[in-house]
Amino acid sequence: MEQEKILEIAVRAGLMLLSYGGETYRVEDTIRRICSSYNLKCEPFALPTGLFVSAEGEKGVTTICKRVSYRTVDLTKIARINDLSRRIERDRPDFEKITAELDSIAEDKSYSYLTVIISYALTSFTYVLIFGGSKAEALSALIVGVVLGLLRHVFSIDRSFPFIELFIDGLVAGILSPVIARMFSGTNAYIVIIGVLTNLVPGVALTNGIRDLLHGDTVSGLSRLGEAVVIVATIAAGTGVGLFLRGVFS
Amino acid sequence: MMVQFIRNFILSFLGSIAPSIAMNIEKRLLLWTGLGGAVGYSIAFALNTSATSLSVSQTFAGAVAVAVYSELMAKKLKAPATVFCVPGIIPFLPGIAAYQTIQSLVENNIQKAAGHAVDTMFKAFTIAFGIMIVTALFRLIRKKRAI
Repeated sequence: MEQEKILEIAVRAGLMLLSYGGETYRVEDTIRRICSSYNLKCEPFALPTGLFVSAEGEKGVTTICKRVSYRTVDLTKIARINDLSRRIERDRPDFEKITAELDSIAEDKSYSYLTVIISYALTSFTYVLIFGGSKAEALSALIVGVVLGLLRHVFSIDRSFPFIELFIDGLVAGILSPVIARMFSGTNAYIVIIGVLTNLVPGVALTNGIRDLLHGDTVSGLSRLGEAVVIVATIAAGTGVGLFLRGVFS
Repeated sequence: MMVQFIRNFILSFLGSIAPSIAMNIEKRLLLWTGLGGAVGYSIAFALNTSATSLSVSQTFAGAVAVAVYSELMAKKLKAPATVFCVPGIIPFLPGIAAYQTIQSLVENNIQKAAGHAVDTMFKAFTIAFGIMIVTALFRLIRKKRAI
């Protein structure tokens, strides 16, 4: 296989891993593994927001730089790309076969919207109980969780401003939680808000950032931590404004 | 106490499964990831049943348990360990502590914010460290076997 084609496959796989929430070392490992399966020397450098790969072969040095604009967590796609890279190492399939497989991974559909909404509601419900809330508080969180699940569906149309989405999610949680919690007697709106926000807070980003740091990927680790701080601040700003607005109008 | 243990087991099971659907986990692995979270949380809870929230050492024990479970299941079910690890540690994650940090800052309560910030960083670091140790150990054992 030609140098450009090997590099194209490797970069595509790496880029997909990066945008579906793969760790930095996994992205770099995968690119290195694919290239070395076809005896191509390469040096990848992955950041949460972009990817550089330089390959050294018969045709001299080729470098590709790609930008990652939208990131999410998709465990199925991570597993499938990981599996593909191992198969490439073992069988060395040809270019068309690999691109077809990468296409099928990219189009791999996720759970239906209804299931995702149920999962949001269930997460809110469960975490209110884990944080020591009562059944009435858990039920209020369930209702707000459904609304957040619907919002995620609405925002999936355009994802160019991820922070606006988080701000509005926080705003809705801040306004709705006290309103719904008040329908039951003896509930604490604060616990409802906390349970609902478990859906949004960047716990995984925070831990992955530190995992990157411990791996020696200092730049990625710190930028992931920075991202987590910004996400949390945006959510807190949203709920803060929501609670304030509700205080003004009631 | 037994009732509370079972309650926590079920809650952490649901608490791992529900968010992992939003992360698009493979359907065949869904129940297995839930079991990982439940086992980890139960071990952490068993260390100090009277605590209202998990301490740092409990979190560490839980993270190590989840990571060991993930590595074993990765081998058994042919999937990368991360797929089990990420949902499994969700019940331990200090996401809410991070939110409380910013909220306390907004309320101008610096002392409370500092407490929550330390709690957040310590727990996140502990979880990451627990996973790291187990991954490194398993990699060493595998390399040794290969030789």
